[in-house]
Amino acid sequence: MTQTTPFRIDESLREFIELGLAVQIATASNNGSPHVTYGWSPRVPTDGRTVEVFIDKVRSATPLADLKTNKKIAMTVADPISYRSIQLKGTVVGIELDCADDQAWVRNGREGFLVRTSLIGDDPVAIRNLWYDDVVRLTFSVEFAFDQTPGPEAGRPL
Amino acid sequence: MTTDALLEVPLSSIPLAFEGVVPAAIATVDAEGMPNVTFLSVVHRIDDAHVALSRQFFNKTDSNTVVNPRAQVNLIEPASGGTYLLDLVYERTERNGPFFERMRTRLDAVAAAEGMTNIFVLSGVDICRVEACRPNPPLEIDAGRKHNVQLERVMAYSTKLADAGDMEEVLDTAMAACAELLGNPHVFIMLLDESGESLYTVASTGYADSGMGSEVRLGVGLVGLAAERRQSVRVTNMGRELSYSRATRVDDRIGVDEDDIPLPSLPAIQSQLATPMLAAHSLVGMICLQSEQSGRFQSDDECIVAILANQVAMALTSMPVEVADVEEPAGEAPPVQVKYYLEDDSVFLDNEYLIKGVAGAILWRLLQVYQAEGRRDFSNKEVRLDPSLQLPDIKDNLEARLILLRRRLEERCDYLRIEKTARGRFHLQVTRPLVLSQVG
Repeated sequence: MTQTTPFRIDESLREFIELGLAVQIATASNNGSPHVTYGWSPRVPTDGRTVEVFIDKVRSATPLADLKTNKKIAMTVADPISYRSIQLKGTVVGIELDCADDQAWVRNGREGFLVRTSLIGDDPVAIRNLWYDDVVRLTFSVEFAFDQTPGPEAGRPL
Repeated sequence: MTTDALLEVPLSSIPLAFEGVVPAAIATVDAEGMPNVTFLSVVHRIDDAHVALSRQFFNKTDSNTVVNPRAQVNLIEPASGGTYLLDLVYERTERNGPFFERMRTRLDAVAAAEGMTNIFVLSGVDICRVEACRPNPPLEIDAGRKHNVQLERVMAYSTKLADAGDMEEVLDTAMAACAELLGNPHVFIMLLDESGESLYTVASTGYADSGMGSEVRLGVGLVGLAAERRQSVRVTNMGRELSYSRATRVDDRIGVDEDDIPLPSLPAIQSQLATPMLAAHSLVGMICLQSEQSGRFQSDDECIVAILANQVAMALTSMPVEVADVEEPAGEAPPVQVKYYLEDDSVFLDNEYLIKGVAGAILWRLLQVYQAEGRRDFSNKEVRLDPSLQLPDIKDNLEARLILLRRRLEERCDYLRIEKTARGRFHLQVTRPLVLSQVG
């Protein structure tokens, strides 16, 4: 995997990422064991080169353990309605365990996700059960970006 | 092979998580330690220690598993929102065989439901060993509702099907069985026509519009494709699956004739089960169930309907062909214009489409005899042997067409009826004068 310059997220991609979509986060241990967990409410700071994303604290033990030795991370964001999907990959540059100030942002993103999944017939109660209130914020620099929409173009660099 | 007992959560204890109602996610790692994560439509449980993943658009996942066979899947139990992590080790890829065909049919059928073809090119099915399965987070989670299959009720319906005296009883019993055993009132049954290329709806229950007489070609749409492949297709979240197929679209829609009767359909289908009725290696028809609830039909339901479907098929193909006789008057009311189009054997009553094909030809023949001879009583045998109809030598098809014809008449008018009078005999009831005209 080679990419000469860091990826910069433009305005339209930022809007998509922050829409309140389905998010999955992957980390890997030093011995190559992958770990997948839900991500919530990703946010793109103004620099366009980093992304903040939240994971449930109760599910954070393995990802945080992975990140101690391997800071590489992947995040897929998918719209449950259109199935448009992207994947961002990079390196974690910050971990924040106290996210009290982020609660409103996280809640908004989750509510957006709840609305979109309800529109395609998912049980809102079951969807609500997917998340927990306490979260951890991960910040990562984006080094690679891919179109992940199902189809022949899946995997194409953005 | 490891066993279920070695996993913290036995795979068999979370059947709903494998229904694909909510997409799972899979993570892999490349040689440089960079993870990759993507969504999966369905994770199939093969046995207590193996799952199968469809290879569709997994370019990076595939290349990662070549260098590092480890993967982790995040499964969601749709009723509770409980999630499970499965640690997998890639073992092999299958590119043919029954399991591959079954997955291919399911993917194609969902695309076909949208009128699309050749969307999902299933290049293979990855078979993975499950090394661990645990709830995430590690809390006590309700594994979800599983339908309680009542075997004694299955047996009771089986006996009733075996005892059925005619085709109509077989069809009604099959629909009642599906409705009761699966707790789902929306069922329709299609039979293969004499050409062997199309199915037509001969019975339905639980729909605002019965769809009687609606047709579908083999290979077209979800039902047609399942029929062509002789494979059962079960879709658990139609809204999501259709979104997925639309996202991958290379538009290849198949046109629909506006004059066609639409298939029975609920306004917002979420779950669908289409099961072929097979007897002596041949397709007899399809049993189709629909629900507006996602995840409505589970794997056990699929087994039950498959058992019923094959028994219906055997009952229909072994139904004795009877011979036989019978009478009545027509009232004085405004005449009905009955128009028959030779081209496709379609019949219109006062310019309203009624039916076409074999059933249309039969009705036209009966009305001609009635008009010429005043005769109202007929036997199945004389219809079967009537050279003008040129019916194919498929003994069960005539009775199915008569059932279809009778139900269409009941839906469409109040002055023409076909009533069964004895085994192999029926009565044409006409209560208004008819003016027959043939086109072509």
